[in-house]
Amino acid sequence: MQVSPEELNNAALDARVELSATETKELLREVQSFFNLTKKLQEVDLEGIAATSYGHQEPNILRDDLIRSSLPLEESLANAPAVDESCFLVPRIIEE
Amino acid sequence: MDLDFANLMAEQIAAAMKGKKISPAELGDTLFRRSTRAQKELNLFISFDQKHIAGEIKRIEQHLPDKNCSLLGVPLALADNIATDDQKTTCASRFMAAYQPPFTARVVSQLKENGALLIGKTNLEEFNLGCSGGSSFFNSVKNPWDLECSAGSGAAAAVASGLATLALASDTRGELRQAASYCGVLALKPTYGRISRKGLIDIASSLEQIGILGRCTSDLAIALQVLAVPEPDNPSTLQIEAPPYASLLEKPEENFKIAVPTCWNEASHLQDEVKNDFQEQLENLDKLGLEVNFVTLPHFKDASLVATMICAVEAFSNLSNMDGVRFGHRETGKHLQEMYIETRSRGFSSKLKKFITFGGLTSTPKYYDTFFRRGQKLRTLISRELESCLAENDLLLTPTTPFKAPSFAAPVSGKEFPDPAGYYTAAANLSGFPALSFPLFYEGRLPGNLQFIAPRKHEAALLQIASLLEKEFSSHRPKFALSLQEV
Repeated sequence: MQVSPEELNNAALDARVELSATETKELLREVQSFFNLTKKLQEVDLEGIAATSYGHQEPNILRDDLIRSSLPLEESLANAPAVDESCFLVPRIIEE
Repeated sequence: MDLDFANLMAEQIAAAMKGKKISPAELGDTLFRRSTRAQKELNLFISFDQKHIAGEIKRIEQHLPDKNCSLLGVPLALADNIATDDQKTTCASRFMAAYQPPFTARVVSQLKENGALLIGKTNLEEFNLGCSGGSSFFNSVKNPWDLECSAGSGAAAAVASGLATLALASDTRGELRQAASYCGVLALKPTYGRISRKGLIDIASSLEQIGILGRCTSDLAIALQVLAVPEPDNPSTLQIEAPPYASLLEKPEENFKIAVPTCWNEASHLQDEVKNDFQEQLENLDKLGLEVNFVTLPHFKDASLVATMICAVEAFSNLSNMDGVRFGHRETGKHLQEMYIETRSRGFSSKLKKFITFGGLTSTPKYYDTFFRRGQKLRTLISRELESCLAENDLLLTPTTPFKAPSFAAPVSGKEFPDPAGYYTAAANLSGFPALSFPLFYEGRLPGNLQFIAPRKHEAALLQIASLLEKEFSSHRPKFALSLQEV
């Protein structure tokens, strides 16, 4: 399985990061090496095996559907880099 | 009383505090002096200051009349990816460098309510992604046994150097246990859900949990007793009462059946020293009369690869809210998308950027079934293998890491996927089984280690085997490079 630089750059865009040329080159090598290591795992017969997506197998807990207080507005905004009264401020969404 | 914390157990410190043999003020002064020195030598903290320690001392004084506090005055170090509402929680990332959580993690509140004294927040790899050094925004932590080597984490270094009696840190693919093995301390990763994850800023929710570091088994038992309390309303916590760990230690089980996977010596980067030490310990266990059986676990050796497949996708998803809007670092951008990309590209280390890009790649339709979905199925297979092995044996035994503390000059690992340090540790994260790393000491050499894995909810068996080995193997602890006792 071969990964192209274009695929990697698209994945970086999905992850909302920009990779330098050196990072892209390093990551291509690392991903390719990982894919090679997993070749044998691709041959394991997993027919009928369920996927595990959670750390334990206990039944889920549903809390009572009651109204309760949440984080106060002031505390919700306290860590934001830019705020305007009760809003988080962000740059414009549509390019000029 | 001599404040030789390196040789005092939690129970002794609490008794000395209750008996007024140590005054809170004296404790605070000593801890601040030693923390300052340790920070200068090891870079183990991200945040600690005199004002905070003074606040902690005031709080401890209020606890003094309460004779039920099992951890009164016990120095505690806390990895900086566990939330505290009175100190920043940075996850060792530039992105989170100024983040002040609005609440404190449940585990911290539990220990504090029992009198523990939080010294400070410790350094780690950025978002606890491995423990091989190189990605913390606050630089690497030096090992108190050899300052030229990595400690793996500030929490492990704090316990090893005698500064903290206990520490809490998280374990995603084995980081807690790996750092413990590099620093010669005990580490207990409980069953997934045994202790609360509330307030842990995790990179991979289904794998990562908080564990305990300490220098003796009884300290781990006391801390686990305080922490292993069901948390109503939290679906990731087990809703079962924990057994009385401390009293189980008083009469330990001595007839353990121990399984060793035949693939234990197939790890890449396995050092001869680790191999020889492990073989020697197998002979010692035999001399102790313990039954050791070699077992075939066909997929144990793949656990680190599988955990990496899952961890990368979960990290890609978990960190997607780190966008500079509601919290964290922010860069400027002409529009929202550019701001996101600039913020995350400058806020995250190169290692983390590459890892989440890898997670993004394996989340795409082309690779999803081949890697992530297949990884989840292999996770089932690995868990079943462990379950069936531990139905016939009490414990599974391996080394903790294939190599000893890596030197800064010639690091063994860190850049590759997967990190070779996780060869033995990742299976316990995939299965949610509890695991314990036990230190071994040698004169003139870095500490060695053994790892035991027990069936789900059987932390008591781990503490009992550690207690048994402690009596046999740990009578001699060589001096390490950094001594804080005279500071």
